[in-house]
Order: sequence, then C-alpha cells, then structure tokens
Amino acid sequence: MYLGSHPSKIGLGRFINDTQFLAEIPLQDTIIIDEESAIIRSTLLMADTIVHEFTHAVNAAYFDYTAVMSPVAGSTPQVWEPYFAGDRANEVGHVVSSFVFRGNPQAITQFSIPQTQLSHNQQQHIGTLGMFWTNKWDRWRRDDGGIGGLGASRIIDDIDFSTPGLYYPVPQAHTQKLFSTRLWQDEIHRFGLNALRFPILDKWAAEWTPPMYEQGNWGTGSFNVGPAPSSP
Amino acid sequence: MWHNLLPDEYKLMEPALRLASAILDDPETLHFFAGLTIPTRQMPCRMIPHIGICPVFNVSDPLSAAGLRNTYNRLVDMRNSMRWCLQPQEMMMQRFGAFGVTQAMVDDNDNTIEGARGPAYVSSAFSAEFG
Repeated sequence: MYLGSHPSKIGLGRFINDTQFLAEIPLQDTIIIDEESAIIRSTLLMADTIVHEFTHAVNAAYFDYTAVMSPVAGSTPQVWEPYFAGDRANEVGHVVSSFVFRGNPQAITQFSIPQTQLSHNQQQHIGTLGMFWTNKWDRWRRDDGGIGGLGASRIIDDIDFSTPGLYYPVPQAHTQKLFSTRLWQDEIHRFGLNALRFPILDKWAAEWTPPMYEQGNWGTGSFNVGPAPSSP
Repeated sequence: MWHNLLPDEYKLMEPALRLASAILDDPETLHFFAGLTIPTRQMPCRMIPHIGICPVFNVSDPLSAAGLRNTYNRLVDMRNSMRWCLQPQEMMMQRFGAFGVTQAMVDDNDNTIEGARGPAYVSSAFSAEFG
C-alpha cells in the first residue's frame, strides 16, 4: 500500500525475520509477516503519537495550572493536566488515544539477549509482531510524588488488584480499515469514532500483571515464606 | 516542509499525518477537545489529600455548529502555540525515554512563552521520533 518498492522494504523484511530468529522461535513455527502489514501498523502508531503529543500541546496552551495550585507543597503546582472523569492518572495523551481508539495501541514485542535496547525500541515503533491494547491505560500506575517536573502525572489511589488487567489484540484487518475509503466515506458518517475503535475480542483477551506488581512471593499473594508444605 | 526531509521519507509519513488530521477533524473528537479546553476554573475539582486540587474534565455536552467551529479554531490556532519536529530515535530514547515528548516553548532568554490564554499557560513544542 505505501512501501511499494521503497528501499526501506528490504531492511524492514530483514528486521521482521531477525526478530523472530532472535526470539528463538523454532524455524518451523516462524510465520511470514508481510512488510506492508508492518508499515501499516507503524503508520497507525505514528498517527497515535502525533495525536497524543498534540493533545498535550493543546492542554499546555489552554490549561491554567495556577488555578489549581495546592497548599500542600507551597507554590509548587501539583497537577499540570486535568483528570479525565473516572481515571486514576492525569495524562491527556493517553486519554485522547483511549477516547479515539478505545485503548492505546501498543506494539507486541519480544526482547531477550542478544537483542539491543535499540532493536526493542524499533519493534515498539514498527509493531513487528502485531499490536495490542489494554482496557485501562492507567491500570498499573503508581504515584511517584510528581517528580519529573512539567507534565508529571499524579495518581489518585492505590492499584486495584481485585480485578485483572485485560490485554486485547488489534486485528490487522482493523488497522488496515483505518486507511480505507470504506471507513472515511461511509462508516465514519454512520458510526462516528466507533468505526475507529478497536473491537473487543473477549475470547482473545489475556490477563496480565507486570512482574514487579505481582503480589506476594512469585505472585502467590502471600508474602510469608512459611513452613515447607508437608509431604502427603 | 521540514528541512532535510527527503521526498521518499515524507511519502512514508504522509498516511500517518492524514490519519492524525482526520481524527482531529472529527466532530466527536472536537467534543473531546471542547471539554478539555473549557476555562480551568470551571472544571469540577476533587481534593486528593496527597496531591491537592485535581480538576476533572469530560467530553463536552453536544455542541452547536458555532460551538464546533469555535473548538475547531482552537485546534487550528495551535499553529501559534506550538511547533513540532522530528528527532533521531536514539536521541529521543536517551533524553526522554519516549517516542514523543511535549515541552514548554521558551524564548531566547529561556522564559516560557505564553500560551493561548495568557501568562498562566505555556506554549509547547513537541518532537516525534524518527528512526
């Protein structure tokens, strides 16, 4: 669609194959991932980044942080951005993306030695292995006291560990629909942004807790070492 | 057009620019921005002990044609309040650990430039990664 015979195509094809090779996927299990499909995911990720940063810029130009100076820390403003209703964190970039797409599109990545950090970042850009979105973008955020200066986000409550974080795949067909005349000449007028929003594929959803947030020893929920289990 | 950007590179980026533009043009998206850009003092607030005053915004109530145009103009007026540029991937990751970043725009004397509504607001510059 966009690459044609663009010189990037060769490097991209190599990168896709290398990623699978370095992930130690057995040769018989590697799949053919078309370069065109990768560049379309990359295009969506770039559009998402543009809208995300643009929204920060709009906020910076219109939000009066002096109106919400808190007595808590003297004259230091406590929040640089407002909270979208129902959210735990104030980060308008993630909010706009969730509003438009239902969730923030993210690349599925694989990272292990000997891959470099740079090659991991490249996967995050390209969406080499596909994309996913999560049902709540601020799910695993913890308050860091606002360190990080301008733009630091603050978290209003503790993480809710009682329900799982859900991760959904973004179907490639949907990604490609975003660049189709069917969407922009027909569906957008009938369904609005719902035509852009990622479908909720419940049967393909995964539950995931970042390792550092698992509760207790090895995610057992218990912090006690306790006695060794008695043998039966 | 950006300095030093090759026609081929622009060709690769163009669909992303068009998709982002189409999203920002959408009336539903404009309702989002109408909610975000109401005067800060009109936003309802929550008092969170460890943070302080937390203003809350929501998607705007249905807008008239004039209201939509007004919000659209705010987005277009961002041309006066921001500039954006592309940076190499390695520099972005090293300095910001991010693919995009929005920073306050400063003048030659390092003073923050006023935003759309006056001194309490900042204008912004944003960089996107280019790798």
